[in-house]
Amino acid sequence: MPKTQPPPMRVISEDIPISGKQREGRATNVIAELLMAKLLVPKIFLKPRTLKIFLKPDLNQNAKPFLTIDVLAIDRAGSGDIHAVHIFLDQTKDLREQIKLATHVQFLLSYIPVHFKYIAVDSQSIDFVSKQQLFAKDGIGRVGIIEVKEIKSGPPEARIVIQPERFRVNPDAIKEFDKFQNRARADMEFRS
Amino acid sequence: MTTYQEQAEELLRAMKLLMEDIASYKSAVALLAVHSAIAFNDAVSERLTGIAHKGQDHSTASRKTRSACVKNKIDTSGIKHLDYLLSKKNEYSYSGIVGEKKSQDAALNAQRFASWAYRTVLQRESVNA
Repeated sequence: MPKTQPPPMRVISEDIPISGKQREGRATNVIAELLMAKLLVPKIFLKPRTLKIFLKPDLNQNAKPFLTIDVLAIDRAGSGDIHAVHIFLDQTKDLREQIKLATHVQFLLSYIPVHFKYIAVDSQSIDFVSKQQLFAKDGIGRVGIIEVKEIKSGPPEARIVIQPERFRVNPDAIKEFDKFQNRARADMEFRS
Repeated sequence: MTTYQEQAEELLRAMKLLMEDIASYKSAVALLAVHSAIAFNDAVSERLTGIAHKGQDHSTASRKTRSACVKNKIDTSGIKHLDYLLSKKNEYSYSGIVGEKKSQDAALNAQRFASWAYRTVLQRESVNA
């Protein structure tokens, strides 16, 4: 007698709202996949909370880090360029959110010492964020923009809307990233 | 960066590009995986010994890399991925279309070998590179 397959389970969770943290988590995953495809065997860290590198050497020691790096990708198995993504999914409908997003972009632009920087936003915020100053003051480097498209029936999609341009990085900061890699385990990498 | 490393990276990038439509490029992905691993091995060998392997017998090149790594007290765990790809080189080259599963397998081994090469030998060339 042939075995009968149980009927597939009906998905009924589509209408259950998800929290901001869960939305950000889904975006984090899809952006990590995007960088995994774009770079050569990168090491990827998801929300590396222990990374306090942006406190030094470029930032005033008294300032508090209010901007988190949500995805950190280091090209060539941790030996290449450093890419950092900050995710901002609060739709910029009102002035307060717009000011917050503009501040985050400025902080990313001025203080995070990595080679490639990206701000990831929802589709509604693309227009607003692309009008911000994305170029470095010294002319070397531009913050890239990633659009996170949230789709009701499936996982979100991420695409690079503005390609980032390479920033100059203080060699001391790179040493700090190397130390960080020694103490933290990557969430995604090609193991040998 | 040596020309061997540049070539290896070019082949790996091409492999990744074709992987976006792997159903149409199964054999090409598998062959690029093998050749990127051979080029990465040449880059590693050149870095360790000053000379890259010349010739068609790639298993000799693999043995030389292993021996150079042992001499320099470098972890050799990643060389098995190169050996695996070399053992499949003839099959991928002369047995017609390579299946999708085998092709994905080849790509994974190539990326693991590249990752090992960067971590152990190629590493960061300059602090700002």
